Amino acid sequence: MSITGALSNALTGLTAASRGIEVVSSNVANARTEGYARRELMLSSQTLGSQGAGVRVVGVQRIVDQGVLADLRLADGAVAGGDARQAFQTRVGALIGAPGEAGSLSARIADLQAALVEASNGPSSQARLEGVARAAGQIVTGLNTASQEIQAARIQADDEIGAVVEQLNQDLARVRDLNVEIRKLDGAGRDYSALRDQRQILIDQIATVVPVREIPRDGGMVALVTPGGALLLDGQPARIGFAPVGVITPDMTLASGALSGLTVNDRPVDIAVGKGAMGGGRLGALFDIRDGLAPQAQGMIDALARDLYDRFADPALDPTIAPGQPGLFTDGPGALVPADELGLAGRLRLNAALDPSQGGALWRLRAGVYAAGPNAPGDGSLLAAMTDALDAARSPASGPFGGTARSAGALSDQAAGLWSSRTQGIEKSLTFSASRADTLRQLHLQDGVDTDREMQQLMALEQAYAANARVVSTVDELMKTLLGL
Amino acid sequence: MSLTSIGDQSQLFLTRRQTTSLRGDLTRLSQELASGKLVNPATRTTGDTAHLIGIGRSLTALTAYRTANAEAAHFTAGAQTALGGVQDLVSRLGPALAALAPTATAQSTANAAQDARGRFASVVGTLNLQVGGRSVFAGIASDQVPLASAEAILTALQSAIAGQTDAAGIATAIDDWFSAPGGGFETLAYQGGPGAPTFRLAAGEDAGVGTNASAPEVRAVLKGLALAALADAPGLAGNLPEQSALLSQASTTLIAADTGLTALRATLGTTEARIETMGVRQTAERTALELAEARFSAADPYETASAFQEVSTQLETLYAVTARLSRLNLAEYLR
Repeated sequence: MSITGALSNALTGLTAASRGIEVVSSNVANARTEGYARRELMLSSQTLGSQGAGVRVVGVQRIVDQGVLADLRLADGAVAGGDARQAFQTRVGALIGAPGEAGSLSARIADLQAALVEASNGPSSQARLEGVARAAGQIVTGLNTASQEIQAARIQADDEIGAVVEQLNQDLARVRDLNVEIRKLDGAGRDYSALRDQRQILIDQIATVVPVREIPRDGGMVALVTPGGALLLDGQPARIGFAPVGVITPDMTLASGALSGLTVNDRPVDIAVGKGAMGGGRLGALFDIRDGLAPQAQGMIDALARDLYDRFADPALDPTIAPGQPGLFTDGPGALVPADELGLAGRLRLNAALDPSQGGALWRLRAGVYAAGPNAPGDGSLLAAMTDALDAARSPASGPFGGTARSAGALSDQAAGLWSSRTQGIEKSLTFSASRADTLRQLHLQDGVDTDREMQQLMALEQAYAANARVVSTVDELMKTLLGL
Repeated sequence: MSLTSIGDQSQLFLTRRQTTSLRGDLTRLSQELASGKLVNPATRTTGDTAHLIGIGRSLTALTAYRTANAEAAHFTAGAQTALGGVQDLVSRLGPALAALAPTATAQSTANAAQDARGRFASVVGTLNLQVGGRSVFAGIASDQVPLASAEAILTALQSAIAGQTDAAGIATAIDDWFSAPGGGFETLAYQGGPGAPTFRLAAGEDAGVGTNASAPEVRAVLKGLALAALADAPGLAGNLPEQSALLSQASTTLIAADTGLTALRATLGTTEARIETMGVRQTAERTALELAEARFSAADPYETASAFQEVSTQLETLYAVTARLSRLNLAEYLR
């Protein structure tokens, strides 16, 4: 039996070598495929009874460092979140203004100051009065645009959350389907590495949206849990619910019930400012933008608008203004109700009494907003007083500026400075997350296909195949010799 | 780190990331080199750009004040010239009339009155000066002409002194006409407004002509000239002693008015000096602010050029290494 034993050993050797070449070819073909984990053939010696009987192919193993992969997924989620936040900060920062930018709010206030100085020095000049009206109009436009952009960013974030949640639900359902397939194949003892590759890619996608941990279950299946404790998939996928709202105005918040929160299996989940059970990835960042960063920005520019409104709605400055009446700036068509400051930046307008295109007259800048008739054309005292009013140090009535008394321009500088330092902070943490993600990705990729190694394997397998074939042909000759006797 | 194999993709990822980062640096440095300003000045500070923006704001304000300064200088110079012209017309007339009065004849009196009328008209014309379309001496009603025409004023004066037959009476009547609050000067002759045009030169600092044509000094000049111009009034016809008395009165008034004018011009001169000092100070302030801004946001050309050179060398090296590595695999050698 030893000759037939030798034959069967050699045949198992040929099978193993050809399986090995198949694995090598699969690796080399997929050397640049995303999500593909390097395969290795697992061999063990076969025993029949108590005797050795050649080589047995145990299976194909995927070489993946689960620890590095888990960390990489968390880092990718942090990068996706930081990216979304940084994009928002940059977008709003462009409206509030950077140093040297012509359209910044501070530059517009400086232009109004300059226009008032010129007009007070030449109050009879229609061109200079127009210059004041135009500069004030530019400030109004700047604040209106900023407010619109902030709300637009909120609407965009809201829509994106809707799209992301839908995609998340689909992805979880597909992971569940893959789980089922894998379990079937595992039960049948077949090779399901390709399905595991697909599942890895899907879970990577899910991890940029919500950070997940992969927990192995029986039969090759996995469960997905967020670090915050929400169970996304265990057998059945969780159903994530969210209802996007079409239009968002400054007064709509999560607390007021006008905006939708997140539900998991119909139970509400806390996602305040992007923290909580489902926070930490892109989804959390989008909620942070919608409910945290954008309302903060809105509050800041509303406080700036309020400060400007208050400076000019002062009977001590312009005797024609009654207490409570608006001055140079109005809230929509009328006066500001202090409790209704939210959204003032979007509603601020130039007083119609001063705007020739709305039936007003420019001489009111010189004579007083509600003056009955023009005053002496050389009287620049009101315009000089308005310049002083812009420059006067007063504590802002609201906003994140503290109580320090500042001029209008200094206040808007503070706003820009606050925003810019917050942006810096977010950028720094994004840089940190990105470099961490890069390092982990490189570690992860190091476990990938190395074509040099595959070539070496190929050479070894060639040799092994040749040797086994030689054994087969030798045994064949021996048998012929035996039979030919 | 695996001891038996290192994936291909990791090397690729590394070079790709490094190339991207170097090219980003290169773009930023070339932009900084071309414009001379940092692309992101916030990175020089902890991110609080309030100070830097504030500097920009101050520079805009200084530009406005520079224009204001030029306008104020031009305006006050015009006023000073006008007052100088008036003084020229008046300063020698006082002593001349004083010399004339004792030895006056009918003819010389008539000549003196004619001459005074001419000077009166010139003074009114000079004071009705406009600079840049604005009346200088009309107070805040800068679109009005400050003084009515010389003929109208002299006609009104003549009707005011009708019936007076002696110098003292005429002098009192003319004095009342000019000085009384709500009198003829304020209702008829002066057509401007109160106050005077002021210019804002800096925050909280104003400067202006400070006076208008209804100031007592100007009234004194006009009064003196009027007294001399009405020496040949019908009421005094033929009355030589009274006419010379009136001329002496005129010369006294004119000499006093000359002193008043000098004081007025001195005040205006102080204002002009202040405007100029302010201008010089603001130029220095502007230079200082521009230097401060540069320290924050200017990109030093030498440093930027060196960094640019360094980064391009690095990029070239990276390209060479990438090319070499791409040929360094076993498959190439097994061909």
